[in-house]
Order: sequence, then C-alpha cells, then structure tokens
Amino acid sequence: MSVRFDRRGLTAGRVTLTADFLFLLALLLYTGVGPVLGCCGLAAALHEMGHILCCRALGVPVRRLRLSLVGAELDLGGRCRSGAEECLVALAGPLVNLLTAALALASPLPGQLRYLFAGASLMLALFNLLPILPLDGSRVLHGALSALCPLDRADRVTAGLSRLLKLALLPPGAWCAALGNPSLLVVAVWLILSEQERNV
Amino acid sequence: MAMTYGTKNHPPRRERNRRRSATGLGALAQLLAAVGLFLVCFVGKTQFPQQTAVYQQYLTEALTGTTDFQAAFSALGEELAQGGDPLEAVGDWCVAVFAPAETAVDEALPAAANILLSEEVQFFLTWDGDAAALCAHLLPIEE
Repeated sequence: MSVRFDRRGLTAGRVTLTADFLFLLALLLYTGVGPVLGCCGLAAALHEMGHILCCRALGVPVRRLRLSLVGAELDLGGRCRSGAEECLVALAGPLVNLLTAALALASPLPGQLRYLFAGASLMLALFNLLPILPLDGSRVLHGALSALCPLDRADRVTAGLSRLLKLALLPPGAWCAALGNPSLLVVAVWLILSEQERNV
Repeated sequence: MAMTYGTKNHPPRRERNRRRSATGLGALAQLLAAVGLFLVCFVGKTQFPQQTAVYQQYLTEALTGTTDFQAAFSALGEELAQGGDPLEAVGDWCVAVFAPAETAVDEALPAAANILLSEEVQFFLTWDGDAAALCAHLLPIEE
C-alpha cells in the first residue's frame, strides 16, 4: 500500500487525510478528550465501513475515503443505479451504528466505556439520519423521492428541505450561543460548510 | 525563442502549469505544517506533560465550555442499558449538549424556591400575630 503526500492530503491506499483533519486530530489529542475521541472515532470508522461494505455488496465502486474537517466523505465511482440502491447504501452506515450500540450495551466491557461507545454510536446514527445534506438521511430521502418522481425534482426537493432545516437551526443556535453554549450553532455552521465544501 | 499562445479562458500551458504547481506547493506546505503540528503535540504531551498541562487546560475549557460530552454520551448509554425510554434518553442528551448554560442554574432555582415557600407557609400558619416574632422572622431573610 503506497503512502504519499499530495495536494489532496496524506493518502494511504484509497484513504486520504486532509491537512485540516490532521490539525483537528492534533488539537483534540492535545486537549485530552481521548475517551470521547476514541469512541466517536471508532463509531465513525464503523459507520463508513457499513457504507463501504454495502457498496461492495451492491457492486457500487468506491474510489476514495476522504477525512477532512467537515467529516468523512466516500467518493463513489458513479451514481447508484436506482433510488432503492441509494437508500440501502445511505442506511448502511447508521444501521451499523445502531447494531454496534446494541452489541456494546449487551457486551461484558467495563461499564463506562461501553456506555460511552453505545451513546456515541447511537447519536451518530440518529444525527446522520437527519434529512439535511450532506448527511445520510438526505440521501435516503433523495433515493425515496427519485423512485417516485424525476431525478431533477428529487434533487430540488432534497436540496430545498436541507437548506430550510439548516436555516431553521441558526436562530436557536445563535440564542443558545448567546446564553453560553455554542454547540448547536457550531453544528449548524458545520452542516452549512460541509455542503459548500462538497459543492466546490 | 518559442512563443506559446493561449485563448482568453485558457492561458498558455506554461502559465497553467505554473499556477497548478503553485497551488500544489501551497497545499503540500499546509499538509506538512499540519503533520508537524500533530507530531509536536504528540511529543509535547508525552515528553513534557507538566509544561503542556497549562495550555491543555485552557484549550479544553475553550472546546468543551459548559458541555461535558463524555458525561452526556455515558449517561445516554447508561440510561438505555437500564431500560430507559430511548426518546427520553435522547431528549436528555440533547438538553445536556445543546441547552443554554443558564438552564442548569434555572432548574436548581425552583427547588430552592419551593423550600423557602414551604418554610414561609409553615411560619404563617403557626404565627400567633406577634409583631416581634414577625420581625425576628423577616429580618434574617432580608439579610
């Protein structure tokens, strides 16, 4: 497996780590949020593995996995052949997280570690099921709509709903931030930046 | 000397190559800086833990602020393990992570207010009309 530096980032095989991702990783490691970072990282890795395994099973080629500041992105070799296929690929990640959360709760691991991992996995699954681009929920919605109406209409409805929900998050996010907790605002801004980076 | 021509939207190949290599070099420098920073943080934390502890505390407070993410995720998992309602557990997690910082203080107030109210009601139910007793009761409250 070759490892190389190029303008995309640090690439090993078909996995690319961008510079801003490495910076974020350094920052999080430095601040000592190790247990949370470890559990969330493992949950995210299993999530992406779910997508990849589903793609392989359905014969959808996967060109690259890119880890950046705005999250993990699978670069597929082409569009899914049908709306059902798109739904299956999109649901695979969250389903893996739900399954691993259940397994963690039933496992004999030390209490706090399995609660932490189960909680992280569950919230990753539920968060990704939101119908907001570029999350998996929007792909499920798009896949379902494309089975019922023309593709361009499915694109428009998905994009429009996503934009509406992102804008709806901004006022409560700003209000919570003004009262001392910027978490919701950070999530809203992250969602807006994620879609913009993927559109570049 | 050879001349190269380009159109309005497509500059000469030499110009395109120059711009491409400049962008590539910039991205490469950014990547190397990030890798270097990562290594510095890793080595600093393992070899010089006391010196880095101060800055670590400052950054941790800036990142986590009023939200203890580890506690929030652990509480969610624990509530589910004990058979709690999943919707309620997720709702509690959302409140713990996203609610304003003042929410925790506001939730504590009603409990204290209830205790004070109960004490006041109890006093006035047993008060015999003595003004001196009333003054003695009210003065410590005002203080």
